Amino acid sequence: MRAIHIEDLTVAYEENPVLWDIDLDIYKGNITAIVGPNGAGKSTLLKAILDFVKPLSGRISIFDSSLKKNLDKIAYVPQRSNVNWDFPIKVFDVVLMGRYKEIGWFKKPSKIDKDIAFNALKEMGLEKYIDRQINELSGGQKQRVFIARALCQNAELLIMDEPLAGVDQYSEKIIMNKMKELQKQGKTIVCVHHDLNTLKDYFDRVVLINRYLVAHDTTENILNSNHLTKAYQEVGFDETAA
Amino acid sequence: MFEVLLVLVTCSMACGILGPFITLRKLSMITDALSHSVLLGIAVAFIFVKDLNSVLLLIGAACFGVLTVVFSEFLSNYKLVKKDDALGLVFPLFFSIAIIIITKYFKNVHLDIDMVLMGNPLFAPFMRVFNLPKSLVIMATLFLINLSFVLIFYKILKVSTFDEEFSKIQGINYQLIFYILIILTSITSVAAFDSVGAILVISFFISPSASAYLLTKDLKYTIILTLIIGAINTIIGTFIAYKYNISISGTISFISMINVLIAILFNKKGLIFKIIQKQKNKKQFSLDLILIHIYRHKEDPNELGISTIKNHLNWSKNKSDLFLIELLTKNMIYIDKKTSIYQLSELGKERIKELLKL
Repeated sequence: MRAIHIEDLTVAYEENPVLWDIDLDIYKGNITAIVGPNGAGKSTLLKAILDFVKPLSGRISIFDSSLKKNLDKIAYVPQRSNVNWDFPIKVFDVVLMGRYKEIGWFKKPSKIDKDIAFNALKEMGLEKYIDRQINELSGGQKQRVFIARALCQNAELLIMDEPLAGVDQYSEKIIMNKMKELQKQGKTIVCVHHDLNTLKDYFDRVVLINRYLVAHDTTENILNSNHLTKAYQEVGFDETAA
Repeated sequence: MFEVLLVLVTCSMACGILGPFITLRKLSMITDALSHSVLLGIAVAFIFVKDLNSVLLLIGAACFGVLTVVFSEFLSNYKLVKKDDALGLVFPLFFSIAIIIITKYFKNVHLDIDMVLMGNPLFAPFMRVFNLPKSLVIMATLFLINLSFVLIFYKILKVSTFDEEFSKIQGINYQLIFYILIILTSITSVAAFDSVGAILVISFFISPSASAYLLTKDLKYTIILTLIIGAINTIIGTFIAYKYNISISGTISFISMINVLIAILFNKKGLIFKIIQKQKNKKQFSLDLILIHIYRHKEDPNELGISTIKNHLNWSKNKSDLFLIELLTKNMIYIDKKTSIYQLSELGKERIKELLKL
């Protein structure tokens, strides 16, 4: 079963091509890493899947249907720079946002919603910090807050952009253990990942991209092949245009 | 005077309720830009109505207020111009076009920003509807509209201001919300310019929310505090202005600024708090130092003797007595009667464990 189906996807910023003709199926119930050198288009691929950027060509379907119909089944954890850090909001409220859609935009959160949010924070080891302003946390803690928010959404498909970048080892363990647990519940997880050393420990499948799709296979097969060197050496199209 | 005060307070609340969202979106200078760019709206409306007292002038002004933002958003979305630069480019453009129109076609008409927009709160009671000051009715209506907008769309406003991408995935039309916010800001500003004058409006929008922002880390309380602080500033400012017979708008703006300064000083991360914290840390450090000293030299009659300990620390008698007495009253140390030396109590040992993480 495929969670994400991508066909002939090309994405460009202005006139600079970032992704060329990607054909890719991401399977349900797997933890998939998207790997590639800087400027390979990893984040862009996620953004195309989430319709943040409009593709020049191609089709993307999610759970064999459109993105719009599946919005409530998707949770996204962005790279950390994208939110308004100075916003007067406490850690607990950030996580509670993950419940907003289910609560309804014009209703108050119930005790149950608050419990769900608190449990998610607890699972991420952050229950001590619920009253902190979001910017008063360390980098790894911030990342865990957003993962806790995603957990609250109870999504089928979890898309994360470098969840482990700049995260301390303690946070990394917490995050990846939770991912494994979610996988057991049948959820699908897709992460942009940069650390090749930890691929084997954390991921079932690897998607290697460098402007175009280099390979997509099980982690073992990828590590045993020469695809990695290929992805990191061969330049997709125009190196300077990134 | 009561009516003047009422107009001013209502005005501060109508602006203040939107203020936090404007400042959090880093659009603080938008009201300043609006105060100039709306002249184009007035000039264009005047071409059609040829009447300086027409309401259409205000409506034209509000429309061009919105256009100012639409244009600068359009420019900055192109990524070639930064957001605040874009605003700084668009409003002089609109203003200058307005000046050109006015100097070319309406040289003999007394048409300028002052005519339409530089309201003075003192004159508010003279224009009346339903036996109430006209500006009070208008501003109260706008306050209610803005209030219901914020109450109804509170969660959507919160999410889209905090995290745009997340709101996209949640299926929120965040651009629509943004433009409604801007339209309300524009209309409220223009009406408030007309009632109390431009500088005061800018101050109403920004400074109470800046103060509130420094005092709380929760959006709900930021908004409530903004309203309260805005009202208090206005009341204090008005009374002072009446007492000394000086400009009301000027005094309120001044008081608001003082208020922000106070919030900066007394804020948790502010100057005063930092100084207090430093003193506290210094004291705590001295106490810990003595504990560690006693811990390290367990039962050494020389190092820990009641009268000799100060020599080993190389502290004055006053200083060592001060901290030793504090530790004694806190029950962290005690004096061993037999040997006349200081000893750690259970509490003191706990603290050592904490310090050395044993």
